[in-house]
Amino acid sequence: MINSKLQISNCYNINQLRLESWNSLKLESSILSENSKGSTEEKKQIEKVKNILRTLESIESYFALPGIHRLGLLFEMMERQEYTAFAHKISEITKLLVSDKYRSNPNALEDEDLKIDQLEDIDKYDGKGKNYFEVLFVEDISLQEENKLRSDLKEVGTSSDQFNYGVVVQKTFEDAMIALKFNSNIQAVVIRYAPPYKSKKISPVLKPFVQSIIDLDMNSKSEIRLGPVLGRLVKKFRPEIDTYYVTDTSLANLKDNTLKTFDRIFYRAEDVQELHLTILRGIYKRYETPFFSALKEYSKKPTGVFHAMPISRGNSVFKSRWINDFGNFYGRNMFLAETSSTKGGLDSLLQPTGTLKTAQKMASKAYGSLNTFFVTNGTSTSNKIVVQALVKPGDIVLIDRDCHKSHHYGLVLSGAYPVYLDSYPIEKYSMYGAVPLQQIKDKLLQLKEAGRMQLAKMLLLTNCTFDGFVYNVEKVMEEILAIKPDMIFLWDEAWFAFAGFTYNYKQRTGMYVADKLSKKYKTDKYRIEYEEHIKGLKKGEVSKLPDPDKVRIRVYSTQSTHKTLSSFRQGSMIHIWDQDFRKKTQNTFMEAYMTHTSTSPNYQILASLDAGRRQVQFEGYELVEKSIELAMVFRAKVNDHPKLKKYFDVLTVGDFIPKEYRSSGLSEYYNPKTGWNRMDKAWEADEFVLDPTKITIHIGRTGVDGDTFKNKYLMDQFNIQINKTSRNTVLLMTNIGTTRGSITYLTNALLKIADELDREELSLTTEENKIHQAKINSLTQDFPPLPDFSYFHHSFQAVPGVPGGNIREAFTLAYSEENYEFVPLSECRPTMEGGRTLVASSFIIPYPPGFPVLVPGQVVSEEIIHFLTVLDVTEIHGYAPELGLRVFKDSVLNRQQTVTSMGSNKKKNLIDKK
Amino acid sequence: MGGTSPKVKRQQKDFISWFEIPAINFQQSVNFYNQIFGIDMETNIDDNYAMAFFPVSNGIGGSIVAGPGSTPGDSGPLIYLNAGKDLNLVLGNVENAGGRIVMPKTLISEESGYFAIFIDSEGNKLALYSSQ
Repeated sequence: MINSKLQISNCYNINQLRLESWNSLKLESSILSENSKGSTEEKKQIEKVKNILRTLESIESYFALPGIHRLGLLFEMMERQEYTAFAHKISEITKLLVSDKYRSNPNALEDEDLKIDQLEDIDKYDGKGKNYFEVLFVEDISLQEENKLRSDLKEVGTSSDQFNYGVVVQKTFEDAMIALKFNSNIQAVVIRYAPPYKSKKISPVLKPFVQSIIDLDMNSKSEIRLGPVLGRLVKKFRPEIDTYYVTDTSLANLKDNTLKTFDRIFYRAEDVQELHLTILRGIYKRYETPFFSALKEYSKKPTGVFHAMPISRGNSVFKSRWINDFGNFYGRNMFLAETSSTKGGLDSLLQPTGTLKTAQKMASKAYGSLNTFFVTNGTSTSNKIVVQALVKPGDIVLIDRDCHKSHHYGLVLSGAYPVYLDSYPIEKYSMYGAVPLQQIKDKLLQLKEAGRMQLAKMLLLTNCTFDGFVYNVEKVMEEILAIKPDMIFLWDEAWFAFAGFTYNYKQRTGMYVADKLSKKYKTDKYRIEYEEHIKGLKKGEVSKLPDPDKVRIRVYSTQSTHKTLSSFRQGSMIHIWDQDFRKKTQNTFMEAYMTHTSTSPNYQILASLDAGRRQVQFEGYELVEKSIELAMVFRAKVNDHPKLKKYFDVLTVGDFIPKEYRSSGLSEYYNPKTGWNRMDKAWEADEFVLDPTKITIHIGRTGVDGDTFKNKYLMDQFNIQINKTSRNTVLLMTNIGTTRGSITYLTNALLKIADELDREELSLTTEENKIHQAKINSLTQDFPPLPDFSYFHHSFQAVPGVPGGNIREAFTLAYSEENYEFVPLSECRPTMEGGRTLVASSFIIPYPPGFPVLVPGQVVSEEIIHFLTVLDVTEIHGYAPELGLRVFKDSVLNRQQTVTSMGSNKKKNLIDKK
Repeated sequence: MGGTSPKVKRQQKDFISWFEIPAINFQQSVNFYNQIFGIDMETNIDDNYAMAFFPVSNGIGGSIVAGPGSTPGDSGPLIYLNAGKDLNLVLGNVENAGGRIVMPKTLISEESGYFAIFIDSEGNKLALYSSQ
């Protein structure tokens, strides 16, 4: 084994190992072809090549292409000492694999005569050619039987089939799971009879990548049960995959959940024709995009428009003498698909009955919800819809204060009283983490004590946050439901739409956990666990488990599809898993949806949501895993490179999440000494985890602040666009569109910046150097404190001392100019020391961090003044430096006070007589 | 009518016959008044409405009412509740009971006495009165 240890620690996942092995095989085989025959070097080289081939053999057995069969051919070529042809063949296969081109033409590998230069032609078929996928067969069969299966399936295929597929056969349960993990292009699984459990193929090379599968350990299950168990696991880890089961068990003896697990059950293994058609049908069902297809069809029809929208069909554009360049830029299709029609195959978003209804149903299935609604005005609107649908004026919403501003405005609109939760501050990097569960529980119990818990309708949290903090959704919901069993959860998953498509992430999403908990609380096993838990409670101790008779699962997630998946900007979805939706909220939800949804929704956005859904159902797993892989590779690169290390730190788990929230002990994803740490355990149990695709780089040692670094260095010099910065950090993200090339470009840019910084430093005069050092010190050692939410002024509080305030009243009081005045920032402190209470009359939102440090009705604290004073950003919404803070006049704060008329009348007061 | 006074000037002993304080959370409201006045209100609950009565011997009485049409608010008429000799004894309990003091004990005039304003646990604005 060549450097196997080194190889493994260098590779984050099997894909990397696979490609690197092929590349090194390519290199070593070409050296072999140049070795002189019979020399010692040649012998050594033969051993080297054989070792790589063996490594590849264990990997390739999980893929249909190039496949174990072709690897066998390579071994044979070696035996025949045809080293030149051998090296050539390997180079071809490697090129196909690296470029992914075999997917558009799997026959490229079959065709012995096909030369590499012909591959360019294959490109032309891209998009028009058949889509290629792989089908996993799980059955303990011989190689001969395997080959027969392949040829049988090939025989029943016809040229008119819409899709092409290759066959991967695995003989054991464990191998099937490994294949599913490694091979992201498996789209259907056929489990035939009862596979044995233990894999015989797990080599030391594979082991680090399959530990989670070894840990499953279902050896004790009887073989006959393994088929259905495997089916269920497939649905758990890759729910989009079609599963089929071939069995002898008669229908009467099949368990209900076995029937539910599989998309279809077959009785005769020989019925290859039926199986083939079923597999293709399953793929076709996912491939369908009802609205997008309808829009394409519509745009082909000749129509006369006697309605609004002159731009429709491009009529006002292409004939124009002045704006036809606009038309040419976007192309004809864009305008042919612009219409206000809701008929002719199209549908109305406000009351869908046709293609949009079906498209939303398909999305609901793909994202694991009970109901899904498309939203064309972004997640800002989705958030407002959900809040309006579920809370009414005077209700209480527990909400993280550093959530997106749309929530704060949503609360103003709905008239709900926010109880602000504080995320823990990370002062060193001028950012906030997430809200510890204990704090949420404390606030809820405080409300309970004040008799106000019934008003607390909703817990609203951002998951994950912009910076990549991810909650333990299951733990939060479970422990909150234990206190208030009908709590509604709104998870703002604006940054987390992609999370549903790989298991580690999925288990921390609203929809997945809602489904999981709902099933869990119905079981007898849970009831026993609950009763025992209650019995074991000490006096005054709060239960951590919800009462199974009272608990209601009511979960809403809002996702910016466009942020992390394929959709046009503003494409957003509301996913609902609410067991009381029909009974309690459907009407108010629809009203709220009507309130905020345009009656002219953008069809291109809707079509993109539909197409994006198809994409994640086929390649979501692959692309998400890939974006994680690229993020990991980048993290490692910056950590390992001495020049990059000099100026940049990739901040990791331990920098962001205090120890007490990391029971797994995972503190970094990559360590230059020990290589990759597996994230599985941390993602299963820790209170908070860090999404590795959100990469925060500490740039304090460059002496350049985040905002300048973003604009003057990354954007102006390299056209690299990033979004968020803090004083001393910049945030980079990988997504499903990130390529290896873009990661390389970024790394390269950082290297060039490092060079430039080196040069600049050398040319500094003594005086300049002092200033430079002072700047570095300021960025690395002076940390402005991050203020918590203070409290609402008592005239806005519902009950004194109990959290929650009437933000809407405060907001609307500021409509009248007479109610507020400005106090310059420098005078705030003396004014407060003089005994006056300053209360904000507007939202004050600095960018960054991008959330309000003051909300209407909030009392200004010393800490907030200090924060605003030292804040070095230029963009502060709601604050004009030349005017100062906009605060309420005292008369407003005392608005509930009045005079009494008693004793003012001329006659003696009635009371005086008494 | 503007400015012209009615021909017959009527006078009567009381202009209040009865007062009602609306509540959403009935029990919470009853607890509030029980606590601030140190009383034990009698309640009457049916399918639609819940009521609790301020114990009076022979003066003007009133009640807490929860149910349809009975909505608390901090605007509208202001009722002055009789807080005995020194209203601070009642007012001192307001915040503990879940209310909020809007105006502390305030002198009206030597001959008229004192008043204070608070918001009860349901968000109603009320005043307290005492002669000392």
